[in-house]
This record gives sequence, structure tokens and C-alpha cells, in this order.
Amino acid sequence: MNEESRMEERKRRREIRRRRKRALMARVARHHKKLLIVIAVLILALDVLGLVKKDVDFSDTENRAMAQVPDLSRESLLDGSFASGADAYITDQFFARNFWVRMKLAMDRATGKKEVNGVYLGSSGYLMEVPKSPDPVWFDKNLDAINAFAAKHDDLNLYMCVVPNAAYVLTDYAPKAAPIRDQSKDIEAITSKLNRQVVFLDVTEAMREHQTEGIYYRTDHHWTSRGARFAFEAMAPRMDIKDIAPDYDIYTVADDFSGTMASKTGSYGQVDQVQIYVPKKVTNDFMVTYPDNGGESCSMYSSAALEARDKYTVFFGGNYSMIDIKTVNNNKRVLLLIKDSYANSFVQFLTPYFEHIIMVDPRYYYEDIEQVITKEKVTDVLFLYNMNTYLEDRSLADTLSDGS
Amino acid sequence: MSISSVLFIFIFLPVCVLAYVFLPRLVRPVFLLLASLVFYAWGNPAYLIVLAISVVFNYFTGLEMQAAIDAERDRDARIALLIGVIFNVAVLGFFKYYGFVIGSLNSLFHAQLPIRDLPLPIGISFFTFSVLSYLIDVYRQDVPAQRNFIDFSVYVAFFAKVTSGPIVRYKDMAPQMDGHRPKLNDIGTGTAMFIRGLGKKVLLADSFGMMHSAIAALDASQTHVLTAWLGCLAFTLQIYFDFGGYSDMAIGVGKMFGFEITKNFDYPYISKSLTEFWRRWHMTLGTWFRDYVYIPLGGNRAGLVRHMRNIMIVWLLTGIWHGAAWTFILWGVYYGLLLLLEKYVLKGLLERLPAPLVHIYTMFFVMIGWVFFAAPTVGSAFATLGQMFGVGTAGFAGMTTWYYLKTNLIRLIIGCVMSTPVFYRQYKRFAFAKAPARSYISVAIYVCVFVCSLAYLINATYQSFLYVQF
Repeated sequence: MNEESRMEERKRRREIRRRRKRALMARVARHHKKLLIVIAVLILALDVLGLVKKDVDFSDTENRAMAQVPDLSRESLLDGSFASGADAYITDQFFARNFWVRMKLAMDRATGKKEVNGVYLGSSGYLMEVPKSPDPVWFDKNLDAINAFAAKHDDLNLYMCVVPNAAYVLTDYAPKAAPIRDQSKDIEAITSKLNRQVVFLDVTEAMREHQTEGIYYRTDHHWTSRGARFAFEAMAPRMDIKDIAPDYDIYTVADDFSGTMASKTGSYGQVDQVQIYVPKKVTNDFMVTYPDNGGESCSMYSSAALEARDKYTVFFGGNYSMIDIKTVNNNKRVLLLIKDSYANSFVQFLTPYFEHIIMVDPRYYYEDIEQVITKEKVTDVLFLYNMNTYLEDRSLADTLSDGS
Repeated sequence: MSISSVLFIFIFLPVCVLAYVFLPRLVRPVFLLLASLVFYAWGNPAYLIVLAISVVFNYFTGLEMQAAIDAERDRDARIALLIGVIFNVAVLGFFKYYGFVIGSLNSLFHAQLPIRDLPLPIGISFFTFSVLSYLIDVYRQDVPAQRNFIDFSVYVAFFAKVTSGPIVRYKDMAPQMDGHRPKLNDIGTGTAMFIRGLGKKVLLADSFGMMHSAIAALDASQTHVLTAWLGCLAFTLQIYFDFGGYSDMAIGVGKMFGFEITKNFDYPYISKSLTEFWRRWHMTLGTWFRDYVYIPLGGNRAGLVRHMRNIMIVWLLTGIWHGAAWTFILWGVYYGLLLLLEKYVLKGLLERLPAPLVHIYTMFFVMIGWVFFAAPTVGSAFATLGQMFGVGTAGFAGMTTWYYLKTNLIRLIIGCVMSTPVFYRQYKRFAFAKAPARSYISVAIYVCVFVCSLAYLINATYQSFLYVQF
């Protein structure tokens, strides 16, 4: 009897357990069905909205062309370009793309990230490009080319300035404790191998002294005109430039500049001012010609750029293979400026002190530089780069050694 | 195509599921095969040839073997199996190891044999092991050969598993291949699994991946002992959430089409020994080697020496399976030796030690193992190991340690907690309780994980799965 009732009890319990488990399974199933319905509706809605929405050609916020409907052909199917094109198309033209990009940045920030898409998120809104590491082969190749060039032109005044980048200079604003590359070591590596003929102009200290004064854009990888000015004032005495302008007329030409760093991270709301500096109390008239397109102007500023997204292009309208500036000065000093885009906002400080400035951007330049040197009677050569572009440069060596 | 791409989630998968549900039963397998071929060929149609050859060859080999078995011609069956195994291994070896073997020969003998870098057909290691299991199971008469070519092709090429497994055994999948309509409940369950996997991959693994590569790229002057360990922890979490997340997604996709795909992970990082770790990590590969290599070689039943030999063979092969590189071979040998040590020396000790110590022991050796796995070369593996033990570093801890800890702390904590069953067990208890409001909260949480992952997918510089390379 006792035995039997125990059996009964056990059976009853098993039955309850079984019933509970069934009820649980039913709840799980209901949960998953609800989830399925919500997700299906969400996917369908985003697909339909994405289809209805007009395709964007160019994203101003990201500063790049957006992928379009890929071409469907036998070749594009076979070589995989249709597939990769379709992948890019669907993400680039996704409904409310800007919202998703911003959301990702917000999540990264909220979870404590200080580094997003190769950009440090500094304090006071500073977005700074993560400094690049040199590629040993190209590092030597570029320096060898510069040294060979120097050896060939020991009759010219040769200068080189590689400007360190915001993340390294702005120690007050860079993320605390971040392992930011020590760019002074890169400068050391350059100077230790550089031909003695070339005067290396280190502007790190001059820049860092003024780091709280807005010497780099918060949203862009360039230095500001203000930063360029401090660098210029440190470089001028060593370049034998005398009687420099004691002061400048400063004009704010844009206050809604959202640069490359903002694009890379998706920090859309944030903007910078763009200022131009016009030297006071010196003669500063010149004619700028653009051999690339035959353009001519007596100003180095491009007002059209202020309507465009990249407002840094207010300086010369961007990068050209060559820009030629003839000034009213006749001190016989002719400067060949071999440069990247940092130089574009630097030239506004140089024009009063040279008779002729020839800006050459090796990234776009395929002519014979030796001919220019002879023909234009160049007296000074300045290599002006920022460290990140310099370390990634793959065209300087070609430009310098073409004539030999 | 990657199962974590926006294209897959928003177009390919919904279209396939809808079509599959509404198509007539007879057409379903054909549809699934066509969809799988499009998936596989996407972006690189040339690889399709390798997959097709493998399918056709193994289909006929299976049939031939079955005919021999039916006619009781044992010798013919054995020959068919032998040819089948040799062919599959040769194809795998040709694509995967050709460059490595020639390269090693060249450096050993200072020879100049020409190296051609063949692009690795996606998933070749996974589908080759699937078809090998099929051939061997048919030979052993565990399962009859598949006469339906479409069904066999679906088994090999099903897009949920063709690129990175799980290595489903044919006999587990065969009974499900009747083209039945997946139940709404299954599609729902699959969706939940898929979202969990997507979250693991996109929100955790990719972030740990960035942390690991940032630390790996540090100058020796900026590396400290603790930083090196942090980097190792980041990789440990990355590879688990990457491959574990992928496996969840694959199983979820399988479920949406009415297939039960074998579980691949069972919280490996809570293991109390390395032996247990390997029962919980990449389980389908482990059982494959157990059933088709270890046991046929005699397992542990043929004396100490044979057992040791068998263990070493299995682990050497496991290492080589992962890739044509000395780092993987070293990694395999490392585990072989450790498992032997565990079985013959440490076993009693481990049973007596308190649980926390045993966990520390296990994770210590697992993490050291990942150093070999993660490193591009043997030299860099030893350099990293050196740093973890204070050789060639700038000290025990420094500012960079703090930086990486601080900027990843939330994710690291989430990652460590999610590596154990604690969180998910509690979550299920919460979500599936009787209170009806809870299920709505839980659905909202799932949607949130999905939407957050989407933000990363749309924005991301694309990150592929680690295991796609194998």
C-alpha cells in the first residue's frame, strides 16, 4: 500500500513536470514567433524603404561617391565585380544610412572606445588621425631619392620639413594613455639618414607650444592657417627669410567645415572654422597659374570651395600637379616647393618673400622636374609634408629620380 | 557570400526562406541546391567547379561502394573507399598545402621550385571532411548511399554550412532531407539563434579583433607583460565569439529550412581540463577526428605506445587541418603533448585540485595555445609568448595597458560573462517565465541586438569570419 502510493506520487510529479515543460516549450515557441514577426516586418520595411528611397550619388557627410547599381554582365558576374558591387550598393544605399553610421559612433563612444576607424576621439571634440607607421622599404627609397637629389643640387638651398600630426602634437587633447606613435622618432629616423646638404626644419616644439590655440582642425587631418603660421615663423630664420610680416589680417571664410576626420568617424554635427591669413605691411601681389587647366588668378583662394564640402580646398582649390606663383618681388629667389596638401595653407605665408614659387605635388606630377629647376632658375627647394602623408608616400622617389 | 553581410540578411535569406516555405515539397530540394550554388559562387564563380567536382565524384563513389557492398564484393568496396579518400585528400592537399609544401622544400634545400599561390576554394576543408564522413559511413554500412543526386548535393553544398561548417555527418542530416515544410516555430527559433550569433560576431568578436590587432602591432617599447596578456585575452574572446557566433548563425539558418545542424560549441571556456575543452570546442571537428582517425587507429585500447602515437597523429592532423603553416602544426603538437600529459600524469592531480585552480590551469594553456594560432609566424608567436612572460617588454604594466583595458573594459566584461552559461541561463529563466510582459521585453532585447549589429554592419569596414580561411 505504502509502496503503491509512493509510485502514484512519483507518477503524479512526473506528470506535473511534463506538463510544466510543455507549457514552457509553448511559451518559448510563442516568444520566437513574436520575434520572427517583428524581425520580418523590420526587414521588409527597411527593404521597401531602401527601394523607394532615391539613390544617392555622393555623400556629403562621408565625403565620397556612393556605390551605384552594379552593371550586370557576363564579365562582371564571372570576375566577382557584380557581387562586390552589389554588396557595396546595398550598404551604401541603405535606408537612413547616416543614422546607422551615427548610431555606431554613439555606441563606440558609450562603450569607452577612443579609436574609431583609424581616428582617435580626443577631448574638446578633437578627431585625430592615428599616426601611420613607416614602411621600411619605402622609407629608405624616399630618403635615398632625396639624398641623391641633394647630392646633384648642392648649389641650391635645400630644406625639408615634415610636420608632425595632431595626435602627436596635441598632447593635451589626445586620448590619455593611448599608445600614440612617437613621431619625433620618425623625425629622428629621417634626420639621421638625411644628406647634410638638406636643412631639416623641425617644427614640433614651435607647434606644441601653441597646442591650445587651435593649430589643427578638430574635424580634419590638416593644420589650420594658425598652425601653419607658427610653423612658418619657426622656419623663416633658418630659411634665410628676413623682415617677415609682423601681423596678419585674419578672415574667417567658413564656419561650417566638417572635414575628413568627421567623415571617417561619422561625427556629423561637428564643425570647424576656416581662416585665411593675409600678411600685413609687406608687398604681397602675385599671379597664380595652374598649368593643369590653364587657370589664372591673382588670388590663391578659391571662393567656389566654400560652397563645396571640403572647405580646406579654399587654398588653391585643392591639389594640382603643379601650381606656379609669380610675385612682384624681385629678389631672384625661386622656390621649388615639393609638397602635399599641408603646403596649400602654408603658401599664404611664403608669397611675400620669393619672386617665384613653383608648387609640385609628386602624387599627380609626371613631368621632368630637372627641366623645371634649370629653366626657372630655382634657388631654393623645400620638401613640405605632414608625417602621415610622407610615410605613406609612393611617388616622391619617382618624381625626384626621373631626370637622372 | 557571407552570412553576416547585409545582402544576405536583407535579401538572400528572406527571399530563400519565403520561397522555400511556399514552394511545393518536390521542388524544395532543387531550390535549396540552386540557392546554395548562387551563395557559393557569389563573388567567385571559379570555385564552383571545385565544389561541383567534389559533389559529382563523391556521389558516384558512394553509389559504386553501395553496389559493391550489396553484391558483397568487400574488396571492391574497400578499393572504392580508398580511391575516394585519396582523391578528396589530394584535392584538399593540392589547394591548401601545395604552396606551403613547396615553400618549405625550397627553404630546406635552397631549391627554386616554382610556387603558385592558389586561391583557396571557400569551405574546402569543411565540405571535404563532410564528404569523407559520408564515404566512410557508407563503407561501414552505417547508412546507405544517397541515390538522389539533388539530396546529396544539398548535403554537401547547403549554404548554411558550406563555408565554415559545422561539419554535419551525413547520417545525421539524411533523415531530415525529405523537403518538409519548416514550421513557423522552427523559423522563429532559427531567427533567435541567428540574432544571437550575429550579435556575438558583430558586437563582440570584431571589436576584440581590433583590440588584438592593435596590441599585436605595438612596438616592443610600448608592450608590457599585462598588455601582452590583454592582447591574448582579446584573441581568446575574438575567436570564440567569431566562430561560435558563426556556428549559431549557421545552425539558426539551418533551422529556418527545417534542418537540425549539429551543435559546434558548448561553452568551451568553462572546461575543467584540456580534454574537456576539446569536447566543447569545435565539437564537430573533434568528433570527426575521433570517429574517423582516432578510433580506427585503435584509440586507447592498444597499449600505451599506440595510444600516444594515436593522440599525436590526431593532433598533428588537427593542426594541419587549420592551415598550411608551421604555427598551426606547432599548435596541434602542443595540444597533443598536453593532452597526453593530462591523461597520464596530471589526471589524478586535476581531480583533487579545487575548481578555480583547475579553471585557471585550463584557460592558461588554452590562451598560450591561441598565441600560436593567432601569430603569423612561429617567430612572432615566440616573441609574443616572451612578452607575456616579461622578455622583451618595457615592464610589467604601463599606460598602454591601462588604455586598452579602459577602452575595452565593458566589452571584455560582457565577453567573459557570455563565455559562461550563467548569463544565458538566467536570461532564459527571465524571458520564458510565465509573466507575459517578459516575452515582449525579451523580443525588444533581441530586436535591439539586431539593430545594433546592423549599425556596425552598415558602417563597417567589412570583417570576414576567421574560420573562412580554413
